[in-house]
Amino acid sequence: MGREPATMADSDAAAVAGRFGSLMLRSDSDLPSVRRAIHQILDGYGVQGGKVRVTPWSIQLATNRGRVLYADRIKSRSRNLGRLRQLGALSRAVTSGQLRGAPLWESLQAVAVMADPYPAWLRTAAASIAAGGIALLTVSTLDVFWSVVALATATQAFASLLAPRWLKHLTAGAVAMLGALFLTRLDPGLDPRVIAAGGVVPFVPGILSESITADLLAADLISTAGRVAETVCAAAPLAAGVLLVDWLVTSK
Amino acid sequence: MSLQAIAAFLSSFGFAILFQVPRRQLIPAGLAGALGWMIYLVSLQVGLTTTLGTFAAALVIGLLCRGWALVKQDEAAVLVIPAIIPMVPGTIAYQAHLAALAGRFPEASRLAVETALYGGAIALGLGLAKLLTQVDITMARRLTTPTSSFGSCCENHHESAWHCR
Repeated sequence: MGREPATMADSDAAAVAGRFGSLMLRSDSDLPSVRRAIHQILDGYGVQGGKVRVTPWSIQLATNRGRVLYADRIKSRSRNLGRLRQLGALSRAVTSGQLRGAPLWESLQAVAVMADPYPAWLRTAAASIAAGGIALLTVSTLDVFWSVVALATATQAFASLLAPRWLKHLTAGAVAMLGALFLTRLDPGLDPRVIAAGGVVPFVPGILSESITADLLAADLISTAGRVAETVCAAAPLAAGVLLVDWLVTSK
Repeated sequence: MSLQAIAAFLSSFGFAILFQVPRRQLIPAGLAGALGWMIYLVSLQVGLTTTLGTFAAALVIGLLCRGWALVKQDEAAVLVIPAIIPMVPGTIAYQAHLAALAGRFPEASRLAVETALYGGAIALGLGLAKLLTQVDITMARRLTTPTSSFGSCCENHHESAWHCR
């Protein structure tokens, strides 16, 4: 004991646990779950102690004396519950000692390159129907539902043509407001603000507000601040797009 | 109320596809969303506030989904995340930004507080459900092994701990 650098077993355990953590963060898992999975895997390898630093954008595993055994930066995240489910099953297999070595790395690689189970058009349609459902929860009329479904499809179609996220959201907001104004011309009974709000639902960072509180409850202030900034960066361009069109139309 | 249940089902089902939930869990995710929204509506009818209703619905959803996950040896998040979608204050957060950008600051602050309250109620409900379902496991671990959390276990001096080497 008392030796530094860490043993081979520690390095292996850190590499596996770190890779798990990275994949979980890429799938937009919450931080307490990532930390718990890392601990479980290290426990499964019979390794305890050390330092684990996890933020929504980075992961680092080190010995207590500061020797870094694993580090990764997370450039993009998208919620993928199918991948998280596979990782959960793998984590249980590692913890129980059923899966180690090369088969484990092959399984991890397979999870990393897992194909999306649904085609893009189906995800667009699903997001539009979900937006319609949420609008229906607010205003219980079917014409609102269909208007929002149509508008959400249009906003996603336009936004998918653009690359930076802020521009995508700005365009989505503008298209949603334009579409809402057009639809209210056709049916004066509709409220343009409700329809526009429904049209941008697929872009609204709703789940982030729950993640912010979860991070806050876990006393993770850096992640909380980061997620707040992320929410503002996602929601502000949407609102700006809506307001821009509203201002252009009403000022004439 | 049935129209509301269908709407909640559709929103949870739609987001489940968006979040790439496996095919077999799509219907249960939608049903969990509808059930959560029904609990929320019933809570409002019995006189609870919106925040408490959200908390109650999140707690019940959390307990049910975690119970399901324990029985099936699966991940609770696969059902929990789509199920809470109808209650997530995303639209309110967006309206808060809209009000702030339009210079309506009192309205923006009220909406921001509402977002924080509802988001907090969901997180608390789900957190409590997690705590209640994990309490047995945690207690059993504490009785059998000394604490060994990362970065705070030097007093235990485990032989295998990195930091004690």
